[in-house]
Amino acid sequence: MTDRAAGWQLRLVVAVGAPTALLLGVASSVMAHASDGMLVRFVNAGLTSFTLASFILMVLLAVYGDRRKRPIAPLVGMLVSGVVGALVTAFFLSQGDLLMEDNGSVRAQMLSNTVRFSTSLLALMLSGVLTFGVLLATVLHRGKAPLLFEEE
Amino acid sequence: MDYKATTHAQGMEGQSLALFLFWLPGVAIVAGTILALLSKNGTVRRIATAVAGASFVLVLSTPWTVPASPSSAFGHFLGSVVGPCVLLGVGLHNIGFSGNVPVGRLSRNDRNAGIVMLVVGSVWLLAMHWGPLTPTYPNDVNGYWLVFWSTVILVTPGLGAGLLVLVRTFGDERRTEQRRLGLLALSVLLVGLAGLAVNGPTLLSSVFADALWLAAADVFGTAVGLSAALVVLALVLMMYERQIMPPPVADGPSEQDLERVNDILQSHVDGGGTGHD
Repeated sequence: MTDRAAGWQLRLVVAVGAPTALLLGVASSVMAHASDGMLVRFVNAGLTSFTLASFILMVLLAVYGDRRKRPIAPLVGMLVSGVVGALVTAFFLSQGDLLMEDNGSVRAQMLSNTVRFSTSLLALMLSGVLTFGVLLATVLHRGKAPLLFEEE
Repeated sequence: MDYKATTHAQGMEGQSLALFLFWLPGVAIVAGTILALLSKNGTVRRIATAVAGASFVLVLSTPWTVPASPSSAFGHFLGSVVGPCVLLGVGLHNIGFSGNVPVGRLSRNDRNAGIVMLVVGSVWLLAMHWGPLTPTYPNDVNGYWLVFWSTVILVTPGLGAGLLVLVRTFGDERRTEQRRLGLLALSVLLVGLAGLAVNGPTLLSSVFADALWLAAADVFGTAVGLSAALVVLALVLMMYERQIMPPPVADGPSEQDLERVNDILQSHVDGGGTGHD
């Protein structure tokens, strides 16, 4: 490993974390409500993304099965994973106000979580398109690199 | 029929409409996109693309088809952001592929059009925060747009700065790339800080600050959930692959087979045994 690459993991964590921490730090000084619903949101987002990702990965496994004589076992495995995620979500949502936000019923909260997850996913996709798009566009616009020959 | 029964019936009707005009198309968009991208069968890919496209239009039209359903706010949000997002995506594509690509290089006009699209898309998004274009539905700022915008503002600077570090560490002669990534990260960070310092015409900085913290909870929760699902997928595949019976091993060649191979090889090596030597 070259000198330049030494400790790159720490630099990466700092680079990703510093702007996020700065934004959240400034935001905490101007927040209207102390966002007491943050933990609830975190848990709802985690359970929802686990459940939906399990179902989406199950569909991907069906495509994977096309190339492997259609095995059923992995599909059943991911189906069970998704169903368990949905049941755990429904269980915790039905425990009074533990994970409920501004919705009147467990079903409404689950549907709201699903739409919110889709919204977050679209936002993450736009962020990815912007950053990787800028990098790709710049890389593709470099002039052709000169051929370097070692001195004879 | 009394009033309570009537409203109950209307509620059920609204739910059925939301199911057929929002939720089922939503599922069809996801399934159709996956099949269109990954299926080997060309007919399946074409049908899946058509179904996903038609479903997208159905979801977009929910503010008119099922205005009573809370889900219609998502359709309104999608309709509000699809313009700038497409402009940004196509703009970056045009700029990138008008560069040094060996095949399918776009023209200089395409590149200029891409730059215009990028500028218009960015200004459009900014005008949603500080201009007259804030998505409001029905009379308030659309909550889904707030989630979307705060997530973009929160994630992009960190992602850009992280990518900058990776390019700096592993790339050679990539100063221009580093500068552009730094500029992107810094610009979006400044937009976020400005949003926290200055009220928009319809979006107060305190509301934006709340949304940023909730977006952080959303992003971290989503990351944890996705990681857990991937771990489960890896475990499921590992268990399945371990249970597969090994393929039957064929017996080695017999003496007779080896002799035959030897004969064939010799007949080729010595020129077919024509005996010209």
